[in-house]
Amino acid sequence: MRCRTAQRRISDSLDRALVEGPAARLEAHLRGCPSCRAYRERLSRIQGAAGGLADPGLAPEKWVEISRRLESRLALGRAGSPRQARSGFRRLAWSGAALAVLLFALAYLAGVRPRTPAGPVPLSFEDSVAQVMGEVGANPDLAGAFAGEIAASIAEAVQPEIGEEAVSFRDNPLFWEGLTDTEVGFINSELEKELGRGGVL
Amino acid sequence: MDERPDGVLVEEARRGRPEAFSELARRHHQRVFRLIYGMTRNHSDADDLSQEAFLTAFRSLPSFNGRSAFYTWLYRIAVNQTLNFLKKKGREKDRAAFHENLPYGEESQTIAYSPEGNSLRDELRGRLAEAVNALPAHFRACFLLVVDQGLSHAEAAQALGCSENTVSWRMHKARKLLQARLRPFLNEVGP
Repeated sequence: MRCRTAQRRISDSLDRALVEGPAARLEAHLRGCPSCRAYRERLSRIQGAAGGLADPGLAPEKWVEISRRLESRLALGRAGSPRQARSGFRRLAWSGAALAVLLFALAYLAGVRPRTPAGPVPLSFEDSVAQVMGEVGANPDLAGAFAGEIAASIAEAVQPEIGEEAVSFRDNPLFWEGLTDTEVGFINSELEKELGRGGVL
Repeated sequence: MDERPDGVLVEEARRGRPEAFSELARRHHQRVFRLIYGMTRNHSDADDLSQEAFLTAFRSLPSFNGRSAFYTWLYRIAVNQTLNFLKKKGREKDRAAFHENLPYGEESQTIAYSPEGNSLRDELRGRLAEAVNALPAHFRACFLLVVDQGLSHAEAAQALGCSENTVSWRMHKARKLLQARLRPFLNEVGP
C-alpha cells in the first residue's frame, strides 16, 4: 500500500468507514511506515479536539427563545401556507383557462364558425383532359394552336443532350494538333469500326 | 415528550397535522442550528438560516419521498441554504486561500490566545475552529456533518447529495488541509 492510499484509509478509519480487509492492510502498512503513523497521530489529535467544535455556546434560555421564534414562524407559515395557496390559485386559473378554450372549440365545431362559400369542385386529371379536348375540338383555331404547341414540346423533348459543338470536335484543329500519330491512328480505327466505312480522316 | 419516530410524525404532518411537524422541529432544531453555526460562525445567521430551513422543509414536505431519513433530508435543505447564503454574501471569496504548505500563524492571527487560563488543548480547539472555518465550504459542511454531528459517510452523502466516495474523499482532503495548517501547533502540543 502506498502512503497516499494509506492516508485516505486513515481518514476513513477515523470515521469508522473502513471495512475489515483494507483495515488490516492499513495496519500492516502503518507497522512499517513511521511517517504514516505520525500522520495518523496528528489526525487523531485533531479528531479529539473537534468534539463540540460547532457548539454555538448558547445559554438554555436563548435556546428557548430561538425555539419559540421558530414555532411562531412555523405557525405563520401554516396559516399562510403561501406556496400552497399560490399553487392552488394557479391551478384554479389554469383549469378555468382550459375550460374556456374547450368551450370555445366546441362552439366553433358546432357551427358558430363562419362558413366559407362553396367554390368549384376540383376535377380529376382525366376529367380535366376530357374538358380541354372537348373545347379544342369545338374551335379550329384553338386546335391549330394546340397542335403547334404539342409539336414544339415534342421537338424540345427529342433534342439531343450533347450540343453540336461537342460533336464536331473533329473540326477543331487544336484537338488534332495535340495528338500523337498513335492516338490519331487509334481514333481512326475506332471510328472506322463504329461507322462501318473508311474512317473520317 | 413525543416518542414516536420521525417517519410517523412526517406522515402525520403530511396528513395535515401541524403539531407533528412542530415536534419534528423541536427534535432537530438544535442540531440544524449547530450545523449552520459551524458553517457560518454567526449566531444571527444560524438563527435565520435554521428557521428558513424548517420553513422550507415544512412547505416541501409533500415532495419528501421518504427514501432517506427525515433528518438527512432536513440537513440537505440546511446545507444547501447555507452554501447559497455564503455564496451570496461573498464570504467564500474573501476566505483566505487554504494552502497546505502555509503553516498556522503566517496567515491568521485573528484570535489572541492568552497563555493564562487556557491550556494548550483549549488553544488547539480554538485554532482548529478557525482552521475548519477557513476550509472550503463543501469540505467544511462534510467535516461538520461527519465529525461534529456524527453522521456516517452514507448519511452525510445523502445530506450533501453526493456519493459516499465523495464524502470519503472530502473528509480525507479536509483532514489533510487541517493537519497541514495545524502541524506546527500539533507538534508543539505533543501527544
